[in-house]
Amino acid sequence: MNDRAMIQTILAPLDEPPRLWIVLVAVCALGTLLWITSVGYTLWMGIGAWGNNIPVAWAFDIVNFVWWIGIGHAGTFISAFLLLLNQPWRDAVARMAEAMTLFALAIAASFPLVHLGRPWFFYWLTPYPSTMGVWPNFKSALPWDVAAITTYFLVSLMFFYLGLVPDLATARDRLTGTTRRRIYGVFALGWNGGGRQWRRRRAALKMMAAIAAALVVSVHSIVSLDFSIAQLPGWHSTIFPPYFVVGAIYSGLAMVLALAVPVRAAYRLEAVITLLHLERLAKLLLTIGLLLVYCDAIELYTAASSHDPVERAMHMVHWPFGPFGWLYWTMLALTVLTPQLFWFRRFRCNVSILFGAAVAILMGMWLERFVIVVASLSRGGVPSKWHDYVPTWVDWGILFGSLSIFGLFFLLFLRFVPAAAMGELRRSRFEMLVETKP
Amino acid sequence: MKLFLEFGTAEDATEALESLRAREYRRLETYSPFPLTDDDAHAPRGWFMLALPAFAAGAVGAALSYGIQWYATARSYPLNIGGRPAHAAAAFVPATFETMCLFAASALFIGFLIAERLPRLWQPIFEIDGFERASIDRFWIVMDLQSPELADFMVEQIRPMHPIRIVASEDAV
Amino acid sequence: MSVRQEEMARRLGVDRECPEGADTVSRRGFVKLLGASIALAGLDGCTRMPASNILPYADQPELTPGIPQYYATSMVLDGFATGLLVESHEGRPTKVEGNPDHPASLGAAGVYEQASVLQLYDPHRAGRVRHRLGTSSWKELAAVLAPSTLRARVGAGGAGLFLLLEPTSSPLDSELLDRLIGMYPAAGVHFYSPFARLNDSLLPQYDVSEADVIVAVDADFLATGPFHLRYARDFAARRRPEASRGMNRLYAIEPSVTVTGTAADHRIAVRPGEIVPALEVLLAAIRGTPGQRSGPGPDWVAPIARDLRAHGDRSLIVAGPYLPERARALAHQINLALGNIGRTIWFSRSPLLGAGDERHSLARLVDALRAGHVDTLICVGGNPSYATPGALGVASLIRRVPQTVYLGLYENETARDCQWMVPAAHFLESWSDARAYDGTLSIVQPLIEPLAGGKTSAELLSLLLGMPDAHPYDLLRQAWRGRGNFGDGSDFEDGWRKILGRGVVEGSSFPREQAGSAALTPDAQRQRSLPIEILFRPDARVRDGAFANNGWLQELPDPVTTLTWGNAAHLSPATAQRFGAVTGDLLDIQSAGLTVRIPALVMPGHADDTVTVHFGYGRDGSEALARGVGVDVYPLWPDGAFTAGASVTRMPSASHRTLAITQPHHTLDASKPARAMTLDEYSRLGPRKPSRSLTLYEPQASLPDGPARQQWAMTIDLGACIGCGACMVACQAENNVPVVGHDDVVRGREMHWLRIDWYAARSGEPATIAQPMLCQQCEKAPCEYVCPVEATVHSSDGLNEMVYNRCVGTRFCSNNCPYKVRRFNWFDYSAGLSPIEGLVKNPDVTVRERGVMEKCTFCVQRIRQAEIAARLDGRRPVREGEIQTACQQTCPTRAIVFGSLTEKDGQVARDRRNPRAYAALEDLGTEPRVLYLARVRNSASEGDRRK
Repeated sequence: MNDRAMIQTILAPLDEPPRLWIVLVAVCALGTLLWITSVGYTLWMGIGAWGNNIPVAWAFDIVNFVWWIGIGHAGTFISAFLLLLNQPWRDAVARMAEAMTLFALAIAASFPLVHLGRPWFFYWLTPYPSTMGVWPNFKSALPWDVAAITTYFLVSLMFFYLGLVPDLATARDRLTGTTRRRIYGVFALGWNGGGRQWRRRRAALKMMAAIAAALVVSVHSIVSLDFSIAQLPGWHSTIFPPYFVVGAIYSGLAMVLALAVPVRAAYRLEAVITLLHLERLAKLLLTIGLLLVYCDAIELYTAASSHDPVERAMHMVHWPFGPFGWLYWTMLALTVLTPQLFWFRRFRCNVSILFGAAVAILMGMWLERFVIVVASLSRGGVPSKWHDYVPTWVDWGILFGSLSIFGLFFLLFLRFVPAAAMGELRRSRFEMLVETKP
Repeated sequence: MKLFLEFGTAEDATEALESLRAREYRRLETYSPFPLTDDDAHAPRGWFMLALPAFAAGAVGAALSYGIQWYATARSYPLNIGGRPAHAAAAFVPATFETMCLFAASALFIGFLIAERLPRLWQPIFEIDGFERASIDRFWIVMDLQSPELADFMVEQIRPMHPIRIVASEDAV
Repeated sequence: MSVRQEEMARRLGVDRECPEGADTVSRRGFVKLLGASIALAGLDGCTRMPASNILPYADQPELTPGIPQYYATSMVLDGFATGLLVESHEGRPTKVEGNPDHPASLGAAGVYEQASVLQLYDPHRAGRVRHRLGTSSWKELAAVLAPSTLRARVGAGGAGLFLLLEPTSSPLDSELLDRLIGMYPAAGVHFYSPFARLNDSLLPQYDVSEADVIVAVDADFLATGPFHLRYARDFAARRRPEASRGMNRLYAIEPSVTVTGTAADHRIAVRPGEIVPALEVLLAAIRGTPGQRSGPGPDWVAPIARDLRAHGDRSLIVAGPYLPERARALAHQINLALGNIGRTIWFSRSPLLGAGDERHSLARLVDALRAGHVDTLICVGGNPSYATPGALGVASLIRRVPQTVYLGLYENETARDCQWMVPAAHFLESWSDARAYDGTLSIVQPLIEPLAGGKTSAELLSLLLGMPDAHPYDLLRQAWRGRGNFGDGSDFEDGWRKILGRGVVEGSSFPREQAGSAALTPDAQRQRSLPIEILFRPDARVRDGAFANNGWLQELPDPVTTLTWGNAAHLSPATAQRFGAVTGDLLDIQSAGLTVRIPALVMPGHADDTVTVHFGYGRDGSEALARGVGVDVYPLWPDGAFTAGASVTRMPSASHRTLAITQPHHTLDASKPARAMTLDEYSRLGPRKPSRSLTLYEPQASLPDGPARQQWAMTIDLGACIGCGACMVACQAENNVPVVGHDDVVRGREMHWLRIDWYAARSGEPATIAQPMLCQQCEKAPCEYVCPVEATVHSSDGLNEMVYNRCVGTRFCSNNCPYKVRRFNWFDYSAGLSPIEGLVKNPDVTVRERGVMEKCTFCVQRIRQAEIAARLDGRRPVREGEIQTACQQTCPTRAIVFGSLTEKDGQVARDRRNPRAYAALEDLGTEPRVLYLARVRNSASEGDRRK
């Protein structure tokens, strides 16, 4: 399709969204209401509103946190890594992936906040000169988290915005309606499409991509340290940083697929996000999936060859056959078996299978975090204080509520922001044309 | 005195650009919905001026972060925390690294804005009617001529490159 | 909230407008609160510490605000006194300790004594004199019961007047009763409580420390009964293999698993019906005339007989109070045959009024009630409408009596059946006296004027005598002056002051009596044929139900089962399997023609075909806490026996009840936090090499203060600990530990800073090691380095400190605590407290707010107090034993030792060098300041080999 058509398809939703849009918004709004109720109730009553206990002092709160952070990693992975590797096909999905990252991060950050016993003192985790003269304890992994997540969010935001500016300019010049154009105009910062601007933007983006790539690896490594610096068997494991990074990208890519498939259908973006793109994503998913299996194996092997009987028991007995054994096996089935479909082109190119697999992997990755956090805690420490865990309606409310908020954010994004980087897309098409010329 | 050449397709614009370059015209700038030249598209060179401040900022950020952590735990209020050393260098690494990245990335972003003097919502060039399409489907080449008398000659030169329009302007940048 | 109020009030009240002097300080704060309290309707404005006529323990300095004082008093259970010292903060009793001078305590206190202070401030206590439905007054009651009026009703001889009292040993009560009988010769006086030993005029007295071999026959003598604190102490003294006189050996022969059973070297689970025959065989074996009457008997008898004979008169057979007459007679014969009488066991007169006198029994009263002879029934304490065998139908009988008066703490079942309700004074509000199990006389003095205007039994009796306004203090003094028995013939006032100071009259115990060799009464009912035998036992926490409204006790995990908030039917795994029941499944138990539906609790080590149920639950009086908790099993209880036949049926699988059990897993698992060894293994142990030099953790150069002069540490001897749970309640009282309720216990949110873990060597076996688990105060504390806000840090004297104000509640510390001893305030647990409940809080300890972590502090408030005292006292270091943690102070077996490592030859330092010493989960390198001494089992086989 030619450029005009592309602009048309990409900017059309900004003019008037598909009918389905408003329905989905309504649904997500309801879910958001559920989130507000659950969180409000928690803040009013205290953490006791959840199923957490001693020994399982962390449960859904941290499971959701890690899961969302993980999802937040695919965006940067796709846009940053693939940009550095000069993979032009990324451009089609990069924008959506980056937006997804931002929303996922914002939601993830809400969990550690809400899960505090006294959330109103959250700022005590940041170093500021106080009359108490006390500082955060930088030997703990939690202040590291604060640093990592803030950084990651801000960098992703700048990266996202810098990439977005030219499209905002296009919207400014292309759309009708003075107010809208004014607003887009403000956000476009006065982009004029000059060659020098394009060049400098590119340079800035590339270097930011390099930094973001480093962040993708470091941030989730740090998140994994929340567990591996502890002495708890099941947490205290050196494989965790790479293990978590791989898992994060894995679930993130799955989320990209799970979003891309319906969006391209609903917004007629088949021409922009082509089957080729989806297939590439599927291949990537398979690769990362295999990496994850490797990590699983290493973790199990390390435990099995450990001289600490408690460590062995955790991985050999409590995880697979403990109170959450059935979740453990479900988790393995979903995360390990599902991607094996993608050995076959037939499946890689079948959107509905892609979608189903992506959702399955997402659930599997959530369970993986659940097993690590809850199953380990419930059998940690001395046998006398082993205790199981049962979530309350509030726990579920916050989980599904967070999904709804994510959906809401994403729908608004589709409504007001160009969903793909037109500049890059058109440039690469232009290059193709030039090459194909005799 | 400037000439504003509007082209309908990227091909025409690039050809025009190349032939003008071939004629030793240097004071050219393009305005287009996507980068026209390979230079602009991939920026293989010229990023150094952005990298330098970014590097500096990163260094500052790292130093600052480590400094704060050291001061807080080893200097200002040392405590016996689990029998661990007060100045625990290894434990300070993660936050240090993250802060470094934050500072460097911010330097890049802000650096870009400063270099391009953005945000600048109004620019004289926007006054040229039809220029708004430079972000949609038109491709502009702007030539800066030293002397107005060159204008007519240049127009003759350019016409065969079949631009849609040629606008000459004194005041517009 | 309430406590903050209270603190404020305390600071405010420094002006003197009341004449009483020092105590007015507390008074203003006090009245402020009490004024606010609904629970105190009908309370006169001037409630305060009783005016100057009570005296602090020994001689302490004048009362200064902020410095607590200790008063000696006594708590009476089933008529037997236990001497106590009660800590009073400006006239507000907050903590109970044992009175070292009292033979039943020796400085220790049990769970009931510890929890009694909470009962004092129970807002559900009755607060008004009630007649039928209307509020009445003491005066009106006096008018009704005035001799003139009463004579008119019950006849000159008082034939229609009946009194039902709780068993009492009080000389004061006895004198008043005598005068009453003098006034109403025909009146009936009866004593009753479910577990009182009213049938025995002679009581066996044991010297456990003298016994090398002890056989406990269905006797939980270490954890229940009037003298259990003393017995536990003497027993534990010889559980340490280092003990000079060598280890003793305990055999426990019992149907249900008891504390004594778990402490035993050999525990044999037998059905109740098998006990008598077994004892016959044992007796025969001891006498050397085996098998003549009842064959060889079970195979465990012979070894025990051998062991007993080997130790001759240094052995002891303890027969449980719930055994049938014949079994106890047999036990006595065995003691005789072994020559233990007079050595390890002797007899003395029962201090209980009317003991062994059939005429004073409940049965006689019931007869009278049935016959309709009773016109006026006066119930003094107890709860006969509830705590009596269902077969007797006492409740309905009481309701039929024309005129009934009840003196009690609560508007309970009996109060509901009586027309007159008189709020009773708590013993901490009462003047009285009482005798201990061995007859030792002790004083009951109040620490506070009756909060709810309660009356003592003495006051009620004197009202019957026509002296409604007699003050119990005067009554007591008169009685004592009349007796004038202070051992020496010294002047009364001196002696009196001495008594109030010490609480005990030395040398007032009863002399030894000649015990005639009790004839073997023919076995009443031969129970061998019963399909299922059901055992009735007092509950370890609410007893007969009297403590059912006490949150501390309701939430105290039952020994071994760790069941809280309710009771259950204990069964052996095999029996449970036969009914296809698992823990929590509802069973229908039928006995004495009545059926009770109660959840099952599968109990490894329990005798097969036997069900044990506990009294005290299923209350439906006005005690809000107790209402509807657990199941009432009194209806099943036949008259006169603690065992009966029963039939059990399993309810459809749907019906299941979640039991609030704090420790579902008893297997030691891989981590082995608790250790036990045999005597052989112990003798093979090498000396323990100290893990590190005594400089303890090396302080970082940058730390402003190096290690302090004292380095606090604790050792806990698992050999001595019997897991009675007194330390848990003591800790709860000392440290303002909140009660969370059934649902949160089910969720695993109980707040006890100190808990008792029960471990079994292998799964499916009875749990036999009790391990008190509290914050281990690790020198390399895992909790500290993961806290993001430095809310838990290490002090220079080695304490793992928890800074509540700084805590934001990430709970990371708990996740990283290998011992799981940290507790989180999931809700605002102290929000709902009424001002009166707030009074029980220890002002020296912060009440934690919602969302913060808390844990054992080694009673830091006590440490700092002692340090300040020491500093004022000329900058000397704190001496060994000057500081006792709450758990240590109350521990009957002295299993817990606290002190400074810098005292090279202090008890702690020596214990840490003991080869039995080890740190829980040592290999984690947390280097705890708490060390455990592994338990040593003195099992017979080895014992023999070593001879």
